[in-house]
Amino acid sequence: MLAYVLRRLAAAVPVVFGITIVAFLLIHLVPGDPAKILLFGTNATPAQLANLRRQLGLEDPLWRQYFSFISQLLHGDLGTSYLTQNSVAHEILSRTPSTLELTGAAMVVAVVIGVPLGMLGGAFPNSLADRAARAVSFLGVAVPYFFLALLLVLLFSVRLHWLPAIDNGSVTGLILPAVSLGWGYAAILTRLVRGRLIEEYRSEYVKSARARGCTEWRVLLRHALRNSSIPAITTIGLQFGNILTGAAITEVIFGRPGLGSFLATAISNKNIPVVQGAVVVIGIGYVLINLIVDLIVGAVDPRTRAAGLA
Amino acid sequence: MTDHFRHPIPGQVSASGLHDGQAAAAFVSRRQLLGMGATVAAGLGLSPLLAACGASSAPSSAGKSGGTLTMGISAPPDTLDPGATGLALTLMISLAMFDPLVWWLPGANGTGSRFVPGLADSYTVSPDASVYTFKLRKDVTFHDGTKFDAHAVKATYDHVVDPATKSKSGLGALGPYKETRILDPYTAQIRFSEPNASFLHQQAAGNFGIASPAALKKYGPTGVGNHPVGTGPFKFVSYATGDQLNLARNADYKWGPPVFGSGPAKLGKLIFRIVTDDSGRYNALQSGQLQIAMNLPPNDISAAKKSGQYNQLTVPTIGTPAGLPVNVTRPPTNDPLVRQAIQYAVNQEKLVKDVLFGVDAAAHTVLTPITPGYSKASASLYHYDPAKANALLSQAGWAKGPGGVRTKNGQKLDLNVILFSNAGFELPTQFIVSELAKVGFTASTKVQPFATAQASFNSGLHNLGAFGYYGMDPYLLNIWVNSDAIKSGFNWSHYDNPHIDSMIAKANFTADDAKRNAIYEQVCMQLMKDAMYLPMWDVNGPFTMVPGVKGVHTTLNGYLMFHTATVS
Amino acid sequence: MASASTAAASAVILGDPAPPTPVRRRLGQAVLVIGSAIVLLLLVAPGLIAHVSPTVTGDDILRPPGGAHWFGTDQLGRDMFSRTIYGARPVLAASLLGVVLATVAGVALGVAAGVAPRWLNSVIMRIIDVLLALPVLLIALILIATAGSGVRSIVIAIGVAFTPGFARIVEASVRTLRSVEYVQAARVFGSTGTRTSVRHLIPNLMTEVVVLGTSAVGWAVLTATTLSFLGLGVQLPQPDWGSDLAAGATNLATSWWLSTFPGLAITLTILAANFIGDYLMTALDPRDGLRLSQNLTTMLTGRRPGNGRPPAGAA
Repeated sequence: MLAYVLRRLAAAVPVVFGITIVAFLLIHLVPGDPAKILLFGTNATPAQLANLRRQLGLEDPLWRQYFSFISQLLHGDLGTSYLTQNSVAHEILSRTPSTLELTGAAMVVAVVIGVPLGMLGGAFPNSLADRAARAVSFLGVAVPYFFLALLLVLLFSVRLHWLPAIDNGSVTGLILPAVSLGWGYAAILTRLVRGRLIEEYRSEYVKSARARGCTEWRVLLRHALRNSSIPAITTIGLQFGNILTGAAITEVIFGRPGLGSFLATAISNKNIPVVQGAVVVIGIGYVLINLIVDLIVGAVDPRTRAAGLA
Repeated sequence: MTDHFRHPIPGQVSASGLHDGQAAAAFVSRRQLLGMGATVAAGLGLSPLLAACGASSAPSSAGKSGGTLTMGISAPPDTLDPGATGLALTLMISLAMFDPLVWWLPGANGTGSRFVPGLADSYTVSPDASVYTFKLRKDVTFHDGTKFDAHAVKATYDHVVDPATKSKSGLGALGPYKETRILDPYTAQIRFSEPNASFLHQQAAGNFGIASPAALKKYGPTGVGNHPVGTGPFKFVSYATGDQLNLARNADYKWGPPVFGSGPAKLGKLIFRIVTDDSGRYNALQSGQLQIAMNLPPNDISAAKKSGQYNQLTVPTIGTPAGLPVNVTRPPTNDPLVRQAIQYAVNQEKLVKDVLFGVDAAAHTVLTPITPGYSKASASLYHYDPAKANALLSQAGWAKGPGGVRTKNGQKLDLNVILFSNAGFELPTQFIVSELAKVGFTASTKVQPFATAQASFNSGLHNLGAFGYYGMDPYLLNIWVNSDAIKSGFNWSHYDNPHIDSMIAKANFTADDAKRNAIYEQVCMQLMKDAMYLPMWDVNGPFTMVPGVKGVHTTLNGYLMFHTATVS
Repeated sequence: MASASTAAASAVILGDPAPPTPVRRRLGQAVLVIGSAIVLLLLVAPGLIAHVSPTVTGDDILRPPGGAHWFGTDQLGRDMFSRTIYGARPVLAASLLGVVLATVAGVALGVAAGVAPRWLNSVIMRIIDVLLALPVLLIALILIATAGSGVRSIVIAIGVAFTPGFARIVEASVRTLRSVEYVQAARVFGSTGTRTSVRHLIPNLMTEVVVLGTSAVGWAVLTATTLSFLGLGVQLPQPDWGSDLAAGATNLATSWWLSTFPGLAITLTILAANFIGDYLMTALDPRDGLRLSQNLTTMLTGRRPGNGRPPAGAA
């Protein structure tokens, strides 16, 4: 087991390194001068502009800028935002809770809606209930979540006044954004759980469980569902990067101060330290989640460990 | 030396006194779906107010004490330190937490303007306007309990010019600052290395709200951006990044502008809520989560007006109208005849009526009407006349070809239009492009993120760009008309006219208002003759409020002041 | 929401244990044929359906649906029905081209990694891992800031977003297939490594690739419209579902038709794409879609069910 863990960690290192390179290059490719953007409209003199460029390290050659980025990173320093002079770590950390809240709530919605529907469909395939369940989740995939969000706000907030239009710090403010974001993933879960459940029902140990006289409920819960849940959870976990995209847009529509919209603004204004730092953080987050998933699966099923890595 | 506040000298103070184009920069941001360009676009609508129509400017009326007022703003502040910020939005916020040495406010009867004592009881100015001596109040304390004195003034101004502060607007606005001398504990003298007649207006704008030296020392030059400590009617409580700024009443406040009633604020809490999405802001106003929404898009302003449930306060602004800079170095717009044809082909009145729901006023020249130096003649130079446009294009050698597109020597009359996203220019520009198509132009319109667009404009890749400007003084023309701003500045028309450059410089040295305005009028006339800018609508600051908001004051430089505001 | 794995997952809408009935098969074929015809028409000759130009402005602004304008008009007096029809073109072009790009690149990378020696396989899979770690929006934003707007940028963004997922699956399949006897037999008889892959692997991969590709189209449409909703990659005044939806968003309460029809169009397109993808899956797989649905599990979790072996280099 230890060898497996070490191997996985070793595999993760070059990935993280690659992420830093990509993060650095991508934002530097964006045309534009961050200093000019910062000083826009402030009647700054060319001398002031040149001074700011020097202060921000923009006059250095690319390789030197990369090295200072990496060495800062190795000391745990993500850099300083061009715009606010706050540390990038502070900027990201202060916005992460909101994004995590939204993402978590969306996943809860996905599980709460998706799994029961999937169970319904898998347990009674081709029945009316199955078709209805599939139709509901079908729609979840097809309706674009940004459109759904706009419609939900119009109905539940502006017209009915049941729920707040923008984030008010409470759980009620989380409902509409979580539903718009999570419904699509609910659809995925439904299909997944349904498909696995059907397979599981055909498998040997379910047959033997039935032969042993287990009730249907027991069969469903203990054998079939348990085996379907791991893929379900790993799926959702591995969608981290994609959920972030959806969360960014949902955040803006609902006035939530999250990571996604912050990142987009930073790109638009070429706030280099923020973009570099955020990409690295997101990338590392993804790698970590993958790692954890791998370790869990490796612990549960020893065969995966032995199969090894390239 | 003249001693002010005791013997006010008529005619010496005017709304046009400001020189430098000031901190407030930028664009009306209508759609900020991702808050893109928000940092630039922020502070829009924060414009110099003249005697504003709409919400009452009558000081403290019947409103009751306490209460929480929540205002929705369209972008997060970059920092809460007025001396460092680059966004005009922050200046509005800073006026709630900080006080200047001297206030500059609308006149008593709603017209003109006047200086009113702030943290300084009185001041004197040297004849060459390079030395300003302030006699300070003795009864002022900061939010952190420390006493206000001349040291605080010195600390504040030195902080602005300190390189570690990385000041953006304040540094430019301060001009040729030399030093602050402490003549005695309650007399501070600010000295400039050159005459700086604009300083009194500058220091009233909010960049130079006096900060607590103890706080500056404790948090450091950039740390105070997260921990603002001033003397104002509201204290900083907390800022949830990108979300909400909470301020609470300062019960000890008794040095406010006497014309407002100088005591503590009436509101218990003042909250600035950041909602970058335009629809979101309006939705939040409708759902009661906000009492004031700033910078709503035209269709929502129109809907709000129609519903009869809200008061709309639209503040005209000194500045350059929203419009399209015309690149005078790139074909086909390098031909003056073609540029003039563009001016004749566009009907700004129709644009404003159809696309902007009549919410804004059509613009026809490079300055807004309330800007000193505005030239009415330049605004009448062109009018909507497609026939004239056609004639000019034919005269320039562009013949109408198949599909109605004009050609010359095998080339199509093609315009490359570049916009930056989320400034609300998409629909108006499409309207203009369709008008231009009627007289034989063809065009491709690209929308780019701000950083990219700025780079494109400096490289001169465009025929038509996007621009607009909020300022305080006609000297703002220097920022986007001067030839030295072509390579890396904001002269996106690539207009290179040394004579105009020197006229603008001369105007800025001219003390006499009438003479100065006359020079600016000539400049405007020449700029419009050269047709280097296609104006669309006059920029302004729109605030949509629920009827329960009362007692909000406006200032000459376009901010809302909440010293006597109440909400019910 | 832009991963090929989720794409395929969502496509199992008809994952019946029983083989498709003749009715369903016929229905699937019909949808496929009609769908392709419509797509072709929308891409090549939208003018046959909508008779008015989508960019011509008029004085009849913000008219509700009815009369001459079936879907109403917008703020510049342009016909919304025409804009909705013509708006299909950039979306379909970007999605289809993006998926094609991702499929080709993914297959190339996956095959290369699959037949490569261990160290090279490692390197390639690490690069794929790096790509997978970056959110699509970020890549798209940066691409568009750099390369400019237009369908091209969105195609590249979609390509970059889907390629890693495809490559992973293809690589896993290639490695499995390589161990199959006939490939080894071919080797014994002297085929070189690359010829082996081309001759024997690709035809076997074909089915899988086709299904993956078609399943991804629905998600590509969502991604493309999300990007244009944000104002990226849009060439004004050309109509585009995403940007038209965004333009009408602030008017949703008063002029509902501006956003609703583009929104419905996107929904219907994704529905159809998923339906077709699923039909193809069951039609092409002799084992009633069972093998392919096992592939789903692979794609979703990066590891094969049953034999428990993760594809090499799973991150």
